[in-house]
Amino acid sequence: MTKHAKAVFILKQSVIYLVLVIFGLFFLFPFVFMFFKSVMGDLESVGMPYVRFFPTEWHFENYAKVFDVDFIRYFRNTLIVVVCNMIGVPLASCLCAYGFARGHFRGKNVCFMFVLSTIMLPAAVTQVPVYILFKMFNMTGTLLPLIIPNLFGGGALNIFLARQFIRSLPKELDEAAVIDGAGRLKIFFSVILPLVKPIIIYIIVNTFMSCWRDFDSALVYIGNTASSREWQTLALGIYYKFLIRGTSDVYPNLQMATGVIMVIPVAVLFLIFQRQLIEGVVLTGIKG
Amino acid sequence: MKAKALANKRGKTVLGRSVRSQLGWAAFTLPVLLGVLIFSLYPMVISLYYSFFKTYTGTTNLPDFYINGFLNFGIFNYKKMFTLDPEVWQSLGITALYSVIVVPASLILSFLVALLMNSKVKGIGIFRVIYYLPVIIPTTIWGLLWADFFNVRFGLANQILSALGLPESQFLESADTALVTFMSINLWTLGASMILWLSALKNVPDELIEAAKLDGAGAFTRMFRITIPMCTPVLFYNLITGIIGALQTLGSVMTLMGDSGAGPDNSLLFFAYKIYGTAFMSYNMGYACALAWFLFVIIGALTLIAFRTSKWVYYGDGGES
Repeated sequence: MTKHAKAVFILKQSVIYLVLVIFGLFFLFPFVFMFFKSVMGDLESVGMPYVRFFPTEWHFENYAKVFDVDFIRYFRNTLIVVVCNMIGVPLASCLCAYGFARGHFRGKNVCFMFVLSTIMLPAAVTQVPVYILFKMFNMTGTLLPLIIPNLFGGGALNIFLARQFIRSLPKELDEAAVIDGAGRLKIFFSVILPLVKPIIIYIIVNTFMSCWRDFDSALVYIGNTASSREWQTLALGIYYKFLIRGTSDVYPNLQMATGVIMVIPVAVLFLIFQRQLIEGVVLTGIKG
Repeated sequence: MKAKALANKRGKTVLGRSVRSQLGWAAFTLPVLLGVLIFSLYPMVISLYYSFFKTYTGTTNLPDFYINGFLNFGIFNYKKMFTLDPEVWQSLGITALYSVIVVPASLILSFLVALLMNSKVKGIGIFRVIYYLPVIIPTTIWGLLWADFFNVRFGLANQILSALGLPESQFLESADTALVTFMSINLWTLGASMILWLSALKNVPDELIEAAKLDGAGAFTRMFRITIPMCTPVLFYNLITGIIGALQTLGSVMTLMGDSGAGPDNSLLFFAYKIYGTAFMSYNMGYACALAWFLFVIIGALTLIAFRTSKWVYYGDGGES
């Protein structure tokens, strides 16, 4: 009987693993496809003479070819946006969250609801007037529209998460610092900030991911004019270079090599911080 | 006791509620409040204003009331939107069709995947990461990748179909199949909602399931009477974000279609794409603002309906949302 039960258990486990692996292959497919295509020869990658999944020769030099002048410029621009936001967003959102979590001022709750309500306001709705606003200040076609709003906003969800976290910290900590004569800013930087590290890590990594991949706002605010080409980010530059035909004639192998290079940083970050990220997603999801 | 009282008293003088103190606290939130004012509230108000101008290219700071002696201010754009422009209803229809199919389908499928993920076997964490991984691929690369995969003549997709003995498809090059193809790509991003389901499943107490088992409830009853009702907050969240996401579909179409724009016969003309095209291809900012306001009203109405009818959402014993 026990032997029978054990056999059933092993069978059940094997079936589960089999299903898990099949689905796993399915979800890994985009990555494998991209990688194989990226090392194919030029003709093979366009399906000449046959369409292939596995490369017959391995052309790793494709990766070196990707790093041309354009790519380096796109990369520089993305890096500027990413770094500015990685510093600005956590700072802006945590400072604001601290005010909402610990402060007392008239209309605090109204202001907080006001900030939170922007979650429900999709970018597609405000894009056009915000574009005109930036145009008035001659900022379209530069990186500024991708940075300035985030410095002022920090994202309602980030603020919400950081506020929840700060509220859960014991108030005695602040009060002890007050007795020591510390002002609010000092309390924020020396007491609160070190304690909200998990949230800050989440915000930083998340900011990196969203700035790195951001296509929509780069498309709208930077666009593709003679002068704005200087400031196109990776996501946007690749779009105009590879997807709008007639601008250049690039084989899929180089496109996919670019893809692999662009995926690697996010994939590595995700693998390192997957716990925080997934927990963050869950938190924003359940409580949002 | 005394020390604490003293600390409270002292604390009150600094953390107290004098006007200066209040201003000090408000200053912490000021940058963000300004941000909301400048980048959310002002755009909403001004775009309502812009939406009444027939011709406005956005090159001047403010639109003109008269152009060559003709009145430029009125309800032209709204009239056009509701009666003259077939693309508005076409794009709304495409967006609605997409939402109605993709949102529920991915809810159900991701729930099934989460159930699988919830099984207790070794090394499940690795699978969880793998299943989520496609979600992180940047939009541009995502588009490039599937555009190549679904290429009619030189893509792998048709190769697989013919290897299986199935007829080849026109995929993104025919109006009949473009939307279905575009929908199917969402299968690879099920990981995003799977993660949320999974956390909800983990919150269902084991005792509850065991108690139901003892009472003779079958697996089916347990699923529909306990597990699913307890997961309703996630269901609700996924539903709302799913609909809002569908209404915003822009980058994923553009990067997939490249210079085919909105696909053959505009078969992938999503509403957000219609707004983008109006504003940045036709430079008709007034009309684009009217469309954006329409989108805003739709999203507001849908959200309101969702919250009004959300009695079925279970928020624990406290019953507060």
